[in-house]
Amino acid sequence: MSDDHIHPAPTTFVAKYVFSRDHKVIAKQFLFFGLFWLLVGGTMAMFIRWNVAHPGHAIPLVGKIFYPDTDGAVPPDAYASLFTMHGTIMIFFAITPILIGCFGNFCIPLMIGARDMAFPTLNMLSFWFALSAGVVMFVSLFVPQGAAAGGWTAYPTLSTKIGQPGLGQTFWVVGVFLTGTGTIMGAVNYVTTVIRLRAPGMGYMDMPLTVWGMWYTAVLNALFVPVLGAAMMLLFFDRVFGTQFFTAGAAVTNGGGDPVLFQHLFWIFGHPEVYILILPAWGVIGDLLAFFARKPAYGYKLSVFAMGAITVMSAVVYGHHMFSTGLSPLLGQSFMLLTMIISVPAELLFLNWCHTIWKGKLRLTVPMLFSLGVVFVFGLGGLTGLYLASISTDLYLHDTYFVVGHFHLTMAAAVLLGSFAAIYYWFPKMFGRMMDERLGKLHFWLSFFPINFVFCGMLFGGWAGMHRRIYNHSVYTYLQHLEPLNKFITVAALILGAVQLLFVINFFKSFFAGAKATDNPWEVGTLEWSTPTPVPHYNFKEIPVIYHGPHEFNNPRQTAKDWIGQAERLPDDPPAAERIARTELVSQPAHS
Amino acid sequence: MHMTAIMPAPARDDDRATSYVGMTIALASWLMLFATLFLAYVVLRVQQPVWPPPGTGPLPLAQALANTFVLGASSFALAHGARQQSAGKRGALARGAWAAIGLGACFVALQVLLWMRTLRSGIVPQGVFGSVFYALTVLHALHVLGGLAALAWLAARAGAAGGAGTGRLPVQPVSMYWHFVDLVWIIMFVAIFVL
Amino acid sequence: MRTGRARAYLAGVLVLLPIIALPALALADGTGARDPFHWMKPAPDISLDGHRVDSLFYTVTIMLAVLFLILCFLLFWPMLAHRTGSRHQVNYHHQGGHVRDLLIAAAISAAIFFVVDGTLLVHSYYDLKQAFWNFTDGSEVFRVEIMPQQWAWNIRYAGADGQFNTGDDIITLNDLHLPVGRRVLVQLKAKDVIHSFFLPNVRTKQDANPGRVTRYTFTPVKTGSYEIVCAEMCGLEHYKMRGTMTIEAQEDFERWYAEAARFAVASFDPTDAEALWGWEWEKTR
Ligand code: HEA
Ligand code: HEA
Ligand code: CUA
Ligand SMILES: [Cu+2]
Repeated sequence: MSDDHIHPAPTTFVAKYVFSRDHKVIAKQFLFFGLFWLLVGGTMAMFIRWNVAHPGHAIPLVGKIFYPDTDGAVPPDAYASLFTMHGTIMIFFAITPILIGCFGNFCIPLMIGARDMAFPTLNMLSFWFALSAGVVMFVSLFVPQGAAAGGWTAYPTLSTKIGQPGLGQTFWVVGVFLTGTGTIMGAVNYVTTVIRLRAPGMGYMDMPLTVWGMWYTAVLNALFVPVLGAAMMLLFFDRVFGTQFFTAGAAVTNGGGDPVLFQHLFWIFGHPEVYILILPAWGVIGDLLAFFARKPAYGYKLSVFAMGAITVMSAVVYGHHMFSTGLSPLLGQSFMLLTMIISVPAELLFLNWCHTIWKGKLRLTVPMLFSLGVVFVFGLGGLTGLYLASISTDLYLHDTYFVVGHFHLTMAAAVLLGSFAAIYYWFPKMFGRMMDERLGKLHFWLSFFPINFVFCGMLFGGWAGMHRRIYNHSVYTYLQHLEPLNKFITVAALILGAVQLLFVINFFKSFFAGAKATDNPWEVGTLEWSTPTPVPHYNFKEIPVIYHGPHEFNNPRQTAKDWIGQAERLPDDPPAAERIARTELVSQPAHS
Repeated sequence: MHMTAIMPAPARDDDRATSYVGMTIALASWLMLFATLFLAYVVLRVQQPVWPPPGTGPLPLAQALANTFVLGASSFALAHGARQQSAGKRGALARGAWAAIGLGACFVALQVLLWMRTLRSGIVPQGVFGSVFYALTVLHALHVLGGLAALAWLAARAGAAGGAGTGRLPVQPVSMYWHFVDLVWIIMFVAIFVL
Repeated sequence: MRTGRARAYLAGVLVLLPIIALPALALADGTGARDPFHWMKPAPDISLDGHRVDSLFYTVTIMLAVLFLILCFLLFWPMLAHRTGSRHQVNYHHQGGHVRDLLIAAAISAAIFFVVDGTLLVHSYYDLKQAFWNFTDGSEVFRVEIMPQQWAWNIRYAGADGQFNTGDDIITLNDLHLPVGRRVLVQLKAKDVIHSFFLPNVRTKQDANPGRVTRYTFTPVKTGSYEIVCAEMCGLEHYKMRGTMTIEAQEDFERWYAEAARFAVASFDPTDAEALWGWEWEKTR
C-alpha cells in the first residue's frame, strides 16, 4: 500500500471483478448473488403455493424436472425442505445480500464521502464467506435424503439427529454459520466506516437516513449474529460429535439437554434479525420519500431517534415468539408489554413519513412508488404484529398462517418492495444507465395488488385456524372450507411471480441498453450524486466538505434549483474551516 | 502510484484509530458469542439438581490453574514487549510476540493433555456436563489458535522491520484480541473449574 | 393529469377493498349457509373462554382498521393532490423540529398506545389470569396426560384408582374423550420432538416439549366431535398428526370411561417398560 491514501485502481480482470476490494464492485457481487437466490427462493415459493392449493398434484410444466419420482408432484418430505429452504434462502441469501450486502456497501462510503470501506480486505472476505455459504446451501439441495427440513427456525430436537438424520441439515447449519460470519465481517466494517470515515463537516445528524438505517442494522448484526453463530456451533456439535445441548426425550440416554434453550438462543438473534432486515428499508424509504416529495424529511432527528430506540429495544422483546412454549406468566407478560412498547417508535416513523409527503411536490417515479408501497404494506404488517404481541390472541394465532401473513407483509412485502425501490433508485449510479420507467411502473402496480392479496389472504386463513408448514390442509375437516381462499392466494402468488419477469426484463434491458444516466438524474443533493457516473475507483477526486443536511429541498436560500448538494457551498455558508472543525474530533485520523 | 490530481483522504484503512474502533466492535461480536455459550451453560446447569451430575468425576483443577497462568503469562509477555518497543527498545516487540506465541502454544498443548486426562477419567462429550465442558473449552482453544496465527504474522513482520519502524503494524488490535482470549479463559476457568 | 388522477383513484379503491373487508368481517359473526364470510370462518368456539379471543380480535380489528384508513388517507391524498405541478408552495420550514411538533407526535402515539395496545394488554392480562394460564386445580378438575410423538397423540387417564402412572390407567391413541362442562387440566410432554397441542375450537394451544412438562386448561361447553391439531412442525407427517376430541354429556362419558377402564386393566402388560410413561402432577402455582 502506498502513502498517497488512495488504493491504486486494480488492473487485471481478476483483481477488478473477482477478488475486488472496491466497495462498489463488492456491492455488485452481492447484488447478483442476492438476485440469483431471490430467483431460487421465489421459485420455491411458487412450488409451495402450488402445493398448498393442489396438494399432491403434479406441478404443471416444470414439475417433472424437479420431482421425477412422483411424476411431478411435490412429496411431503420435499415440501418440508421447500419451506425450510425458502425461508432460509430469502432471509440469509436473498434479502440480506441485496439490501445490506449490496446497498450497505454501495451507499455507505459514497453517502458519507469516503473513498472506500474502512477495511477493504475484510469487505472482500465478507463476500467470499457469503459465497461459500451459498455454495454449501446449494449443494445441500442435492444431498441424499434431501435438504434441511426442520423449518428455518431449526428447532431441536427435530433438527438434531433424532429428527433429521440426513446430511442436509448439517450442511444447513454450516451454511448459516458461514454466511453469518460474512455478515459479521461486513457489520464490523460498516460500523467502523460510519464512525471513522465521514467526510469533514459531516456530523452524525447530516447523514442520510439510509446510512443511519444501515448503521443500526450493522450494530445489530455485529451483536446478535454471533448469538446465532454460537447456537449453530452447539447444534453442529450435537449433530456431529454427539453432545447433548439440545436433545431430550425418549431417544436420549444420559440426561440430555434442553430443546427450549435453543429457542431462546435462536430468538435472541431472530427478533433483532427481523429489524436487521427492515431498518435499511426504513432508512432508504425515509430518504426517498423526502427526495421525491421535494421536501426536507419531516422530523429527521425524531426518525433517527425512533430507529435507534427500536434498535435498542429489539434485544428485549424476543420472547414474543415463545408464548406457547410454557414461559412463566411473569416473563410472558413482560415480553408482551415490551413488544407493545416497541410499536410506539414505529408509529412515530409512520407519522414522520406521512408528514414528509404532505404538501410536497410528489414526483411519482418508480422508486417513489415502491417507497409509498412500502409504507402501505408495512402498515398492514406492523399492525398485524399487535395481534401477535398480545398473548391471549397469539396463543390462537401462533404457528398459523396469520403469522405467515404478518411476516410476509413486513418482509416479503415491505422489505422486498424496499429492495426494489433501492435497485431502481441507485441503478443509474451503479451501472450508468437508467432503468425503464414504464416497465418499472408496470412492475410496481402489477406487483402491488397481488402482493396484498397473497399476504392479506394468508391473514384470513390464519384467523380461520389454518396452521403453517402443512403439506395438505384438506386432511382436517375444519379447514375444508378454506380451499377457495387458498386457491385464490395461489393464483395471486403465481401472478406475482410472473410479474417479476418484468423486473428481470427491465434489469437486463437497462443493463445493456438503457438510456445513459446523467450524474444526478434524480436531482438530489446527497454525495453519491455529486460523483461522476460511472463512479471512479477512488469515488471522490477531492474529499468533499459538508455544508448541508441530506434533504435540502425547496430551501428559500437557494432559488436557482429546488435542491442543494450536501457539499455545495452557498455564499452565506460558514467557511470550510469552520465546518471541518465541527467534526474534527471524530474524523481526523490519529496519524502515527 | 502517482495521482497528483486526487487529493488525499483524511483517513485510511491502516490508520490506528480506525483499526482500534474496528477491533473494539469485532471484540463486541466475540463477546456476544462467548456470552451466548456461557448463557447456555448457566441455563443447562440450573436445571440440574446437582452439579456436576452424579457419576462425572471432578475436573483437574490444579492443572487448569497451571494453564491459566501460562496463558496469563503469554498475555503479559506480549503487553510487555509492546510497551518496551514504544518506549524505544528495538526488537522488544518481536521478542515479546515470540514469547507470547511460545506460551500460547504451550497452553494449547496443556489443554490437549487436560482433555486426554478428563477423557481417561470418564468425562466424555455427552450428557450436559461433558457437552458444556468440551464445547466451551474446545471453542476457546480454537480462538487461541487463531490468535497464535495472528501473533506469528505480527512477530514475523516486526522481525522483518528490523526491530524498528513497527509503528505501522497492527500491534494494538492483535494485542486486544490476545488479551480478550486470555480474559475469556479466565472467566471460563472460574465458571467451569472453580464454581 | 386527469387520467393520472383517475388511475390513482381507481388504485386507491382497489387497494382499500381488502382492508374494508376486515371491519366487515368483525360485524358478520353469524353462521349459516348464506354467510358471505363462510370462506374464512374459524372453527366454532366450544369452550367457556374462547369468546375472549374472538371478541378481543374483533375489537382490535375495528380499531386498527380505523387507524389504517387514516394512514391510507395520509398516503393516497398527497399522491393525488400534492404532485408535481400542483399549485401550492412547498413549505421548507415544515420539518417538525419544534417542541410543539414533538408534543403532537407524542400525544398521537400515546393515544394510540393507550387505546389499542392498552386494550390488548389489559384483556390479555385478564384472559391469561382468569382462563388460559389459570392452572388452579381442585377436585372438580378433570385431569388428562398427553404425550405426543411422531406422529400421534398418546392420551392417559387415571383409570379406576384415580392415580396416574399405574397399571389401570386408560390409554388411548388420538382419541380424547371429555365430559362437557367440567374444567380440564392437561399435562403435556413430548416423546421425541416438539409438538404443539392445538384445539382450534378452544382458541388456544400449548407446546409439548421433550424433557419438560407443560400444561393446558379449558372448559368444553358443547358436546360433539372436534379435531386435535399438531401446530408445531414435527417432521414428515406433521401435517396429518390429527386427533379427535369427543365432548360428551356426563352419563355418556361415564359409560365410555367405565368400558375403557375395563379394557385397560385387561390389556396392561407389566413387563412392557414403556407402558408407564406417565408423570407426576405438578403442584399448582
Ligand atoms: C421485517 C420483519 C418484521 C418486522 C418489522 C416485524 C415487526 C413486528 N412484529 Fe413480527 N415477525 C417477523 C418479522 C417482522 N416482524 C417474522 C419473520 C416472524 C415469524 C418468524 C417465524 O416464526 O418463522 C414474526 C413473528 C412475530 C411474532 C410471533 C408470532 C408467533 O409466532 O406467534 C410477534 C409477536 O409478538 C410479532 C410482533 C411484531 C411486532 C409487534 C412488530 C412491530 O415492530 C410492528 C410495529 C409497527 C406498527 C405497530 C405499525 C405502524 C403504525 C401504524 C401503521 C399506525 C399508523 C397510524 C397513524 C400514523 C395514524 N412478530
Ligand atoms: C424475506 C423473506 C421472504 C420472502 C421475500 C418471501 C416471499 C414469498 N413467500 Fe415466503 N417465507 C419466508 C420468507 C420470505 N418469503 C419465511 C421465513 C418463511 C417460513 C419458513 C418456515 O416455515 O420455516 C416463509 C414461508 C412461506 C410460506 C409458508 C409455507 C408453510 O408454512 O407451509 C408460503 C406459503 O405460501 C410462502 C409464500 C411466499 C410467496 C408467495 C412469496 C413471494 O413474495 C415470492 C415472489 C418473488 C419471486 C417470484 C422472486 C422473483 C425473482 C426476482 C425478482 C429475481 C430477479 C432476478 C434477476 C434480475 C437475475 N412463504
Ligand atoms: Cu406433531 Cu406437528
Ligand atoms: Cu419478533
